[in-house]
Amino acid sequence: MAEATMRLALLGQPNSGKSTLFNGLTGSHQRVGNWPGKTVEKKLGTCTRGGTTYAVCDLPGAYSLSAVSDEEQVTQEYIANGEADVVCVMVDASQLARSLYMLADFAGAQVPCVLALNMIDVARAQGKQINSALLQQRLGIPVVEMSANDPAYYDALTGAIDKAAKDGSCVSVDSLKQLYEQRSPEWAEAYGRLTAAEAAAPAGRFDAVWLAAREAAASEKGAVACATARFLWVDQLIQGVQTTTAEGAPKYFARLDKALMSARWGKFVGVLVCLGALIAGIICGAPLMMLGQIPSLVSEPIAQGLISIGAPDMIVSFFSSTLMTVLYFVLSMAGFVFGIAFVFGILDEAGVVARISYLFDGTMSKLGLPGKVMMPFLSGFACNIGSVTGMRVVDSWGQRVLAIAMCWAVPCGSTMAIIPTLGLTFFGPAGMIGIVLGIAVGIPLVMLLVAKVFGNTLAPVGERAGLVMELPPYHKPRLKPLFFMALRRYKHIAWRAFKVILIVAIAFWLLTYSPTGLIENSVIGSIGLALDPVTQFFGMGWRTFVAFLGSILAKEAMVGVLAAVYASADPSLLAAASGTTASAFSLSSLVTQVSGPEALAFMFAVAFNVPCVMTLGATYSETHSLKWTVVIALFYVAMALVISFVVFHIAGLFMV
Amino acid sequence: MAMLNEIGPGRKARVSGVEGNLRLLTRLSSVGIVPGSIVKVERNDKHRPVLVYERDTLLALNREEAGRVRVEEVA
Repeated sequence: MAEATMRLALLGQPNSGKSTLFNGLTGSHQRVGNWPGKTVEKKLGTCTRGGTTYAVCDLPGAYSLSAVSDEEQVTQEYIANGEADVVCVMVDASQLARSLYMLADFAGAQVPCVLALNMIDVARAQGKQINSALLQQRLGIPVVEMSANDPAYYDALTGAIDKAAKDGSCVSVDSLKQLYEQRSPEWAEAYGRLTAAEAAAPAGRFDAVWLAAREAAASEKGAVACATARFLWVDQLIQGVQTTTAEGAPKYFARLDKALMSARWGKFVGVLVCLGALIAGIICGAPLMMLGQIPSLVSEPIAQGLISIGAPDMIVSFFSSTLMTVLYFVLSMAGFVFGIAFVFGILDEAGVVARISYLFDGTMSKLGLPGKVMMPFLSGFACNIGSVTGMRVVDSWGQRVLAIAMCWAVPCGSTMAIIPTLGLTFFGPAGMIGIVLGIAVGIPLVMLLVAKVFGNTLAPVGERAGLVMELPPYHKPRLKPLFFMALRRYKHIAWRAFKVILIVAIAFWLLTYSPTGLIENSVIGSIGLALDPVTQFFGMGWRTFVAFLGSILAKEAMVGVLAAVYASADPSLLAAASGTTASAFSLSSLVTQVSGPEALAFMFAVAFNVPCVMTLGATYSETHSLKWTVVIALFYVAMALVISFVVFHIAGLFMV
Repeated sequence: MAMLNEIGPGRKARVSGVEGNLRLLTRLSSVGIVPGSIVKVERNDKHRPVLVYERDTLLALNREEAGRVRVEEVA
């Protein structure tokens, strides 16, 4: 039997809990992409409740329908084109006086509508009582009290949605029309003109009241007048609907805010919170990360088994080494992503992320990013995958891609283990400190460069969010839905990243496979030799260049490749990636074989190269844009080569 | 007459106008900063966004944007 399908759109300002509801309703039945030609995320999903299938669209978080930003334009067009059967307008019940503005801006759309008073639990905790029956009567549409993170409310919501669709109930605009008329002569003029014309051609999904307001808002005076009228309408609407009985938010929240916002200690507390979140994320992800050990354990038995049935060398090498390496990478990284997604999700829902944003907004706005990226950025010092997936806290897709591109520049834990070790081997303690300082100076410079190169495309200056930001009230997060959300991310990223990592790993395996076990006899060896004059130009001989390429696989793999090219160790992938070849390899033997300037150039090039293939996979999964993943990767490889060139030639002046 | 970023913490002010383009104007009005609205400044620290409370909401406004909101202090 065919089920009825209803197209439902969720409309609300950022922080209204739209995405929480979307995730709660649709679970794993989601398709995320981009609106054609826009740097705005398109989120579609389906859910079936009580015999009805709902095709849910999570409209981009916009503050109004004014169409000044891409998000608002997309939202306005979606409604105007009648792509939704029912629109669910979500507002924050604890901030009705402000958040109902979205409903005021939507009023006039001839689309059945439901008003969801989200975060009713927060409102009650603040001592606010809301008479939703009275509100429903004034608006003429179903009004539902709810908490988006609690599925117990969903039946009431879908019931209201079905009712709105059946009755065709739209927001009553009579009193709003009066207010527009009183406040804005621009509106009155446009309304008169539109209603005269409407007799001939009926307007689409928006009625003349709404269209006149849009025309009036084209001038500064009209825009202010219409906004004032909308807030007056909201004030009339909630008159007698909302009563406050108690004192407001609990005291400990006020104390937490005092600590986080303090002019002297705020940033320090903020950094502590970020680092605490990172550690908590690693602890939560650890059990799943352990699964990554399984492929390394079974690699040897698989090899034995394949050899015993007489499989050719190449097949044995592929299954026991390449495929197991890929699985090892994927399982370890996805476990980490789970932990970060879970902990960051808790902090975001609790309202902590918004406070972090306030603390670091001043610093980050220079890069065109909101302050909350500080949290993922700091995670990058442990692992870049954490920062890439942590960027989900950024609302706008364009800014998120920009932030991901920048966070690649943060040297991760492995980089900061390997590069200083190499530095110490070549240049002693003083040299090592110099190199670390050099990298530290390089990080902000690279970030600024990324901002310069991609900033205008991804986050046009005029459209940057974060200029005006709402700090939501603290909110007790519900762990269960967040846990399942993190688990969905785990599955999602494991699969997406597997594809990317597999492709890169196969390419690497083919390039480094050597029938004799010597890297000179592999494809990459011969390419390297042939390219030697070119790579010399950038400051690296073919051997260091091959190791530089190896560092794209994983920073640890670079040491394995060095061992393979300089000490004729086993160049197989798993051996290189897990560092087994490297353990028997003494870095000090390199000193006689690599010149000072070349070593220095190599270290800087590796530090600012593409972090690793797992970060690449995570980036593809998060941006869902192959184009941007490739563009960012090429940018980093090119930049690393230029850095190598500069470092080599400057170093050449001082060390001969 | 003063600008919002000059108002001390704990003080209340009435918005009298916004100096800026239509985009800033629309953005500010969508969160309730329109002429006539009364805001209470919660924090106003150097190099930080200005924190104001209005319409049951805690808002952070960048210093630069807050500097374009004309206000009159009220008792």
